[in-house]
Amino acid sequence: MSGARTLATARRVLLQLRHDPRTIALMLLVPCVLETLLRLIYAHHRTTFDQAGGPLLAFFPLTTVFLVTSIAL
Amino acid sequence: MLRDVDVSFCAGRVTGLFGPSGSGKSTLIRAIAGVQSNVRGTVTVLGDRPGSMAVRRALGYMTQSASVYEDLTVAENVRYFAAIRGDQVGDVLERVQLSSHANQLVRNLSGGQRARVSLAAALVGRPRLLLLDEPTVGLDPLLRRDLWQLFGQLAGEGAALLVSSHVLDEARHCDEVILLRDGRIVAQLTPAELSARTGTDDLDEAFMRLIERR
Repeated sequence: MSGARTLATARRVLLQLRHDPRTIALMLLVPCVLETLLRLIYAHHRTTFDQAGGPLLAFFPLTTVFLVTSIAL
Repeated sequence: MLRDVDVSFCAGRVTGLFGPSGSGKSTLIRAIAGVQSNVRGTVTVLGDRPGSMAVRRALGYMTQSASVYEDLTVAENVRYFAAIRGDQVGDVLERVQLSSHANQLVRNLSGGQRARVSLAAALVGRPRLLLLDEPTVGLDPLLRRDLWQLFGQLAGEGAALLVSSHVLDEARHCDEVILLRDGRIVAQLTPAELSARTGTDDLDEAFMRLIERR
């Protein structure tokens, strides 16, 4: 596997993604919406949200990316 | 599935591979491309074994089902294959008459158009050896004629072409014809020899007479 081919293939995958706006939205918007909902749900438990919110912000995109790669792609 | 196959084809000519479906056309092409397992016997491609690095560089292989990315446009597809081969796109889209569809997603094209995108991808980098598995299936007669003209042109430029088809009538466009049936070679001859030997210009009829004679 040469560097040029790896680069070309990476470019191809990104182009494929660009033609699929729904997937991009799923990966960028869903984590934000979930995080906001969580903030509202735990409005009276600020410490819980402060503790779990940060790690979850990393966990949600991971989950949606997993869903996207296993279903959409 | 193929047995006792002993054929050869050479540069500068269009060699047609004809036979009903299931006769082993694709298997033979796959063996030459180096992607068929359990090949017993010897296959020599450009003086090398099939699938070797040197052969793969010189090979353009169009598979029976279109092997292109459906969620890319036509132009993006050929650009990707050009990048993979480390070559220029050149005029492949004009050659398969798809330049007007360059910016359309392959997903939105018809089956025949998809096949031509696959053909364009195989033509990228001017390969010396072209293996085309049923490139004219599902195309209208005018386009079929144009594509056979293109194959003639490519052979004129010095490429070796092996083109399979199950429409015997297309044998008239070839310089040489290999007839397959049930995994065996029925004959390898020129279209003129085929007509002369069987005494008919109707190629379907000629094929049947050849089989009955055996």
